[in-house]
Amino acid sequence: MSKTAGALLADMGSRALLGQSDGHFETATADEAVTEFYRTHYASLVRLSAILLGDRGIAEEVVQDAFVAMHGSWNRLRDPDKAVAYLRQAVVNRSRSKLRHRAVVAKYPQAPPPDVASAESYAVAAVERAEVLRALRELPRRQRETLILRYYSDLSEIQIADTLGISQGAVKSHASRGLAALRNLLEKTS
Amino acid sequence: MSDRAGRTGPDRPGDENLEETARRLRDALGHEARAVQPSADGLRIIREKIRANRRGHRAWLRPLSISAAALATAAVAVIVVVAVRPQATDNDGRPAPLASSPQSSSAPASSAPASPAPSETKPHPVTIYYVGKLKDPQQLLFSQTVTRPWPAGNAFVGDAVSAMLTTKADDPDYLSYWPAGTTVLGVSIQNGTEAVVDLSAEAGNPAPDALGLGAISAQQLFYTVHGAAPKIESVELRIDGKPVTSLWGSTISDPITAEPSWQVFSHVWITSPADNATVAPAVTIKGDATVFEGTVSWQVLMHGDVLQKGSAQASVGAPDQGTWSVNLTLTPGTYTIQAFESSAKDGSPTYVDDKVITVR
Repeated sequence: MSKTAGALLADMGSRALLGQSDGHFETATADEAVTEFYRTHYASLVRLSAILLGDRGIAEEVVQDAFVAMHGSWNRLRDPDKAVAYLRQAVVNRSRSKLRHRAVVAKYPQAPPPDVASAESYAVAAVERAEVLRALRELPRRQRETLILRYYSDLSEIQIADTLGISQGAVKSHASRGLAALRNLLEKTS
Repeated sequence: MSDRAGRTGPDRPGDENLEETARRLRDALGHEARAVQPSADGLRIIREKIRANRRGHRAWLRPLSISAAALATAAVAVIVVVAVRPQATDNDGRPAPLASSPQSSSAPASSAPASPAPSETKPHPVTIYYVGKLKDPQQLLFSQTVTRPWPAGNAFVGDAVSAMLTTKADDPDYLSYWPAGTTVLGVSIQNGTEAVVDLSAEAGNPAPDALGLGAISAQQLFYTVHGAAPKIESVELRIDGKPVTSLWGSTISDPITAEPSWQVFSHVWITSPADNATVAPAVTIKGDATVFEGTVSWQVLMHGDVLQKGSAQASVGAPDQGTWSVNLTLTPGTYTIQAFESSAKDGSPTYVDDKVITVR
């Protein structure tokens, strides 16, 4: 998305504000980057974090902190592609450490019981989805992360490798083993 | 899946099951993702945190006291960032509610003291819900997003309701039955999740064509509020200060809570282009759909003749609302684009949305 009037306005606001303190052009550009990437990536990153965490509540906090970190590293990043990769990496890493820190998985909301008798097909679909998500959570961490980046974020193998800091070969094997394990878990339950 | 042969995974019979597993996984993740609605104030919180880092640690955690002094001269939206509650301290780790203090759309902006905060003059999108004009077979909700100035005092809820009461939709088939002249008397948010919306007395005097449409109009109000402040789970409607349990002859729950979207949203929406838009010959029609198995039918008409037709696959099927799109190439002229759900009974169009577009 190209720069909109809104982004420019926000940028002008930041420049005016910063003019009194340090007035660096770089800092204003970092603010501009935050505004732009917020517009283009915030929602999808919150969703990614919520899926990784299995908890919607703290996903926003994770993503907000990732944006703050990107702002701080902006001089190093500059390039929009690099910045998006950085944000994604920060979100995955921060979600992982939250997950480690708190047993949020246990709090993962179960799918609500089907309460609409007239909509059996809907209910079945909801139950099936809940099974898939439950099985996903039983997979080893790398496999789970790989599958989420592949099938939710639609990333390429190279991008997944970059995000997780592993080789492309490892991505391939996590993806296929993860999918096979998921299938086995689902076969067991059905 | 051309790279499958090179994979190291178990390559046993029933590999098509893996594709089925992948499909189910994609569907479940997409569905789960759509259930997550980021709040509207993320950017403000990020900026606060960045400023706090710059100023030194934790300064932003200190709640600002809010003075009631009105910025009489600053009717232009000079918005001051009102205290952000420290998110991490909530017991359950949930982010602070969008608005934790009473807000009123009619009151002048409240102001925070201290240093002149940065102005938030940025326009922001507001999604307004409308009731469909056609009984097709029922009158259900459509939405249109408009751009509004940043509301004074961050009164997003009151602003969205005002927008709903006063903004005519671009598409003449999207209506609001709230009586003309209805205004927002006040909005307050309780416990972060309950909005109390007080409308002026006009709201209780519907035009004859609104009779029987109270329940869907209550959902129109709820979804518009929820769109502005996703943490709101219920809306208590008051008319001229008095709580109401029926609206225009229909019983409504008190407070109003969400009916599932697949029951109250019209099944197929065209979200782009807008009605009466002028477009280039290569045009992408985009929309949302809550249809069984995600199949959306579309057709292009000129003077009542069907020139092109087809179907598109929504990203998810009912009961979720998925997105769909179709790319068309049209010669210059004026067309009607229709999108609809084919009825399970006889394939006839139901839940139609249409847009007139001019190709230049």
